[in-house]
Amino acid sequence: MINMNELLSVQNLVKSFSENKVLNCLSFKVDKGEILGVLGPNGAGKSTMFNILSSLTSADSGNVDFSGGIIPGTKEYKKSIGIVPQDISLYNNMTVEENLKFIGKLYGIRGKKLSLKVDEIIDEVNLGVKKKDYIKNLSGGMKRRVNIAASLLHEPKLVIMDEPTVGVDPQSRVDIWKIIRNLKEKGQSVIFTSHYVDEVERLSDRVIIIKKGIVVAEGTAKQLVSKYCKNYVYILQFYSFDDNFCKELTRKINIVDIDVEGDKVKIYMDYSSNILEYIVQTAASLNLAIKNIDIKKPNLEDVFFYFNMKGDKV
Amino acid sequence: MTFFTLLGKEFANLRKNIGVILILFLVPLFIIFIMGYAFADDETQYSLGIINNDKDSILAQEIVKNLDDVKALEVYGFDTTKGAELAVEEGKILGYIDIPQNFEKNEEYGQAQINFVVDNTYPIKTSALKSIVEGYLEKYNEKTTAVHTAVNVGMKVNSDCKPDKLVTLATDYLSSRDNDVIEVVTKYTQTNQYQVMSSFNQTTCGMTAMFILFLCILWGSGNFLEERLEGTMTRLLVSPAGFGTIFTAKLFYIGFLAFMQFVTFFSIGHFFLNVPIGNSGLLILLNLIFIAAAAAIGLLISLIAKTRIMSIGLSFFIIMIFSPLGGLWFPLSTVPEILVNIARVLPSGAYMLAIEKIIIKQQSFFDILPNIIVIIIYFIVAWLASAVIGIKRKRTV
Ligand SMILES: Nc1ncnc2c1ncn2[C@@H]1O[C@H](COP(=O)(O)OP(=O)(O)OP(=O)(O)O)[C@@H](O)[C@H]1O
Ligand SMILES: [Mg+2]
Repeated sequence: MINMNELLSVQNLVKSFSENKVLNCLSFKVDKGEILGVLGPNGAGKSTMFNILSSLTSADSGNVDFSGGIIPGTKEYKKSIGIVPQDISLYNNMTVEENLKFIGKLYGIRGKKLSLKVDEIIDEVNLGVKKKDYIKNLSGGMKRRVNIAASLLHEPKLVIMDEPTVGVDPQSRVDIWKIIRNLKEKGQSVIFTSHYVDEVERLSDRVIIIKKGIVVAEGTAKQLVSKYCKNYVYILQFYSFDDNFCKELTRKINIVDIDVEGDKVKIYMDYSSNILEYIVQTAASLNLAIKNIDIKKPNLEDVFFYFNMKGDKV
Repeated sequence: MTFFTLLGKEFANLRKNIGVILILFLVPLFIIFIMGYAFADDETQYSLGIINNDKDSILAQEIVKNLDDVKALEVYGFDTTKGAELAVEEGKILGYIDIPQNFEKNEEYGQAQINFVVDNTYPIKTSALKSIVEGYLEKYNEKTTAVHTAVNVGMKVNSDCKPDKLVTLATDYLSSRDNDVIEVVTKYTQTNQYQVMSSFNQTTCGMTAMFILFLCILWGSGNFLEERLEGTMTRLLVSPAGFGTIFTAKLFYIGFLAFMQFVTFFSIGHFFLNVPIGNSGLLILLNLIFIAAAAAIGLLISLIAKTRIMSIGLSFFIIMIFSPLGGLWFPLSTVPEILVNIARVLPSGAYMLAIEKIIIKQQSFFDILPNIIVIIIYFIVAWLASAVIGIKRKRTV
């Protein structure tokens, strides 16, 4: 069922909450040592999918295969995965160290090994000075980092992170990225979701986009961009604008779309090297002075919006 | 191993909550004492019968007169022991003293005996009367009182004698003897078949039960719910610990604390307030079953409640039904039969009825079996309902 280099394979997951079909034949896979980014609007079913993967919820139908014949829901499976829940799940009235030691023990790590591991992880998430602090006294970003650390103690083969960077400052965000990259370096796989598309683009080896409980797009960020959003956007601002500019330009070159908002013009089109030349020439021929030109390369965010804009057609 | 890890976490957190321990252990003790005294009979006079068979004895007359003067006693004279016995049975007097013939004569040889018979149906009253009468008669054995009595007696025999001289004579006479002058022989009768629950028995048992309910239902459900609402339950459930171990550890923790409450309250009740224990094996069994049922109800509430307020509300509602109707606040012997029948089908009422059978009536396992079955039914129903909700939850986390 599962490939040599695959760690996890999810096939046709279906899950409904009474009338509400949240997962609708969801399938994807994660390779060993791969970072898989999951994108999807609120309510797409990401957390539900994670709950099924962490055996908190059972699916109505579908299959989850884990490498090595490990059966989901078993102790062995739970030791093979690390779950970072979307909500902080730590004991407020225990210190960072106490929390980590307690959770480590649940995974069967004990004695000297536990102390060493806890210290190592605390260093890794950059919280050495907060080791003896109560969780309730930490900032939101620090709590997030401990929340992640708690899931890594037992060195799981697969780490599942539900919005690990929500509500943290840019520095903490970078720290968390580092943690994720470190995991990959050590050969562990990661699935994570985030509403920061730039972060998904930056970190992921592969991305899946989920909408209404189904995977609507899958591939590396580059592949997705070139497949769904190859248009560059040229944003021109004029001192004074004339409608003829659009007509003239459309006649000369192959434009996908053009948008006018006051003195601002957005031109959507494939990349070509001499496009700027055409734009400047056209403006000059109409005696229009350009105030500013902005060129926007398409990125994953555009792909995300592309799928969101498509509305119910998907 | 995981079980002890989970248990260790609970106790470590408890250590940080000294206030909770105080509330769970000191408040009930406080209430046991307060209510014990408040409900102790406020009778200021205890009725005592006296049969004086040594009518000519001046010492006997002296004793009768002086007992009559004791404010706390209401003394009735009887001619025969039979008459006094009848009065006890009819509840007119609580006990009687019987001064035998030749009392004074024997007194001279240091062998005087007074029989004291007291009804043991009402332990509190009994002990009050007993301490008054025995304490009073004991005084005759104290030298100064004895001398005083001797002087009084002497003056009545020979009113011409000078008091100084009498004192010397009496002192010499008394110091030549080494026995007690008067020996009180106390006997208990029982007009009812069983003792009634004394107020300290009642409050010790009642408050133990109520605070077991508080701990297991109110505090227990809060503890479970906290774990769920704080999101840490997710952490436990995704770990290899396993559903069963997580819940067993929690129930064990709550159960252990509740058991400690039981041990504390009953020890103090027994050693300081004379609460009888009866068959301690049965008493422990009953409490363990009661604790298990209460903890299961707490678990159920934590699963039903969606918010802390709701769990507190539900817990209070249940405790406030179980406590008065189960006879935890006042003895079931004082309520109408219909209420006793309601108490029979409540776990708290079953507990109180069973505990009376154990500590007062000294009955056997088979006598309390019906009550135990009632409590076990609550345990099973609460567990099953929790399991059903838990499994359903898993489908809709
Ligand atoms: N226990 C539940 N009972 C009923 N409906 C639920 C339950 N859990 C989730 N849902 C519904 O399932 C849908 C998907 O929720 P889910 O939390 O998986 O979305 P998500 O992709 O994680 O969203 P977000 O980005 O906001 O975290 C939502 O419509 C939600 O209302
Ligand atoms: Mg979510």
